[in-house]
Amino acid sequence: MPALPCTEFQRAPRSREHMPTKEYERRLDTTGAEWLRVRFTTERGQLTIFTVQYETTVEAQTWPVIRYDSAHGFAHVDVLAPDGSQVSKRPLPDYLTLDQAFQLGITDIVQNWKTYRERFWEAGNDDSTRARSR
Amino acid sequence: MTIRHELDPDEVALITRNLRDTLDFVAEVIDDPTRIDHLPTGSTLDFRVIWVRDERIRLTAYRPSGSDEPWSARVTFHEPLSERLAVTSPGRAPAMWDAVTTGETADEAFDALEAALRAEAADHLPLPARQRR
Repeated sequence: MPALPCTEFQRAPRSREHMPTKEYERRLDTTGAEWLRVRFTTERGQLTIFTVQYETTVEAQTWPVIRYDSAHGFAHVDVLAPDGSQVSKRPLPDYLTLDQAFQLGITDIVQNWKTYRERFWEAGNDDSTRARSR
Repeated sequence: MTIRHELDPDEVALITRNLRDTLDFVAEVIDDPTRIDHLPTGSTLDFRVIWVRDERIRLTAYRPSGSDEPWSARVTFHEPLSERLAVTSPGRAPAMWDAVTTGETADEAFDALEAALRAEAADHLPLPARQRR
């Protein structure tokens, strides 16, 4: 199965465009191949929407691997496959505030990106993608 | 299927640092989003925390994502633990908080900013301390 490159980072809904939205990335390792990307919007000092995404890069192509976000009205986590399909979509516990869900996403990705990367390439299910997980 | 990775001490240290820096940054942004007004969206970030006298100061380095442009660094957070020795004590010029330094790497930009902050703080030491230097 051919692996698809990362498409455009998920955009905030149009109705939010007038609000101050910030997007930043940070390296997760020393090679520069693994990245944490965050995007968030605040309104009157309150976090109103966020996305936290882990991206891996191989041979100048970047793939989104796992994404926490608050789109569609609830905080959830999407696990993605190399072909761009969604492996799973799980809601986060509804007792978490938006701030807590945002921080949970960052914590999980910073701690567990290696595991997610391995599962991601395993989901590709062929020799070429499996080799990239090593 | 469970995948387990053995982490060496360097990896543990990197994860710990990434967690601390990123969560601190996010907590500070949530507390007061205006703190990052000067950080252009679409930037790659790096962080360094320093102590100058009794003040904890977070430095943030940034440059446009995916570019080879020089890094810039500036203060994005400062928290005095002691009013007596804080670098923000009365009479202190606030201009240092808006200073921006640049470098070919994030560390170079950090080093330049840290040196400037320490030099300015030294110039504002209380008189007895300055005499002891």
